[in-house]
Amino acid sequence: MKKFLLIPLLLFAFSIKVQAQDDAIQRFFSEYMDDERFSRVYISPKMMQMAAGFLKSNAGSDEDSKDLGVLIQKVKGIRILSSDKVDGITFYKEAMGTLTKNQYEDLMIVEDKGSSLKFMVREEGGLVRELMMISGEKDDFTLLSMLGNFTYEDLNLLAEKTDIPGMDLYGKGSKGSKGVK
Amino acid sequence: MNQRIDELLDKYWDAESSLAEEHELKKLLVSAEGYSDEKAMFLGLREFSNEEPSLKIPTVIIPIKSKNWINWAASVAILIGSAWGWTVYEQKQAEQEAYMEVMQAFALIQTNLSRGQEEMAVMNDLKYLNTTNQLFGNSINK
Repeated sequence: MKKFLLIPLLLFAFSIKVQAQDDAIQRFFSEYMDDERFSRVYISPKMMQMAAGFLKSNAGSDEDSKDLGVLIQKVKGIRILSSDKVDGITFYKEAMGTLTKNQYEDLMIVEDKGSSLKFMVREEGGLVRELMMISGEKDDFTLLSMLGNFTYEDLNLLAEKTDIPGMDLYGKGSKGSKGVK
Repeated sequence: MNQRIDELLDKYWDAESSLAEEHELKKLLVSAEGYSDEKAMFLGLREFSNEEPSLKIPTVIIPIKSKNWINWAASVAILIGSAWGWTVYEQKQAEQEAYMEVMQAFALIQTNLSRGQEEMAVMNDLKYLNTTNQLFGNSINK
């Protein structure tokens, strides 16, 4: 009888734990939602579908486009919180203080004299459910959370493909990205 | 009377008679004797005109069907076509914007991932230096 009670309790505890992770991220996002210094981007699953539709109808039949299409379909949503008007190091520390309590594994850390960059992943069932990127430097802070069901190969694809359609507009071109300069 | 008839005939043949004079001439010819040729011409014409058949061509009024519905149908078709075209265009625009947003996010990740890889490239260079002597030898030799 005790065993029958234990299983639901464990499941309940697990669900609370997962919920707590989401809440921590959500709290951090919502805390600065109305802060004028920050710009916020939320790419919904619907937008991901639309992006995949655009790629399908406009991109060529080359391998890169196909790979990108597969990757886009695996991503469920992206949230970005960024600012170039705040002390990025302070916010980096604050974000890390919030997130390290959770079940994120470090993927890559780049620490310079005046900047910090960390990639973290949250895995479930052998798949990456979330890729988190936190970047902070003197006047720049970026927090990115990409949700979905992707593998490390997919992430590798994202890191390697420099000629994916449309990337030239945002990569290291004139328009620039919100990333660490 | 015959003198007047001759006078009027002369005027007629000289093309100088008025309509009233021609009318008078016709009247005089009716009551005059002789002038058979003139009577045949002037009075014959009157008889011909009397015998003119009073035929009337039946006029059939064919009701012309109103073609307004075609105009309406064309207008509605154009309206629907325009609305559909606009919707498709808007959808494409929205898809493109979504795609660009996603690419921007990917670019952000890629830029930062490549930053880490650049840092690792320094380590990559070290593999060509096999020994400690090679690593520090140059400065010693100098």
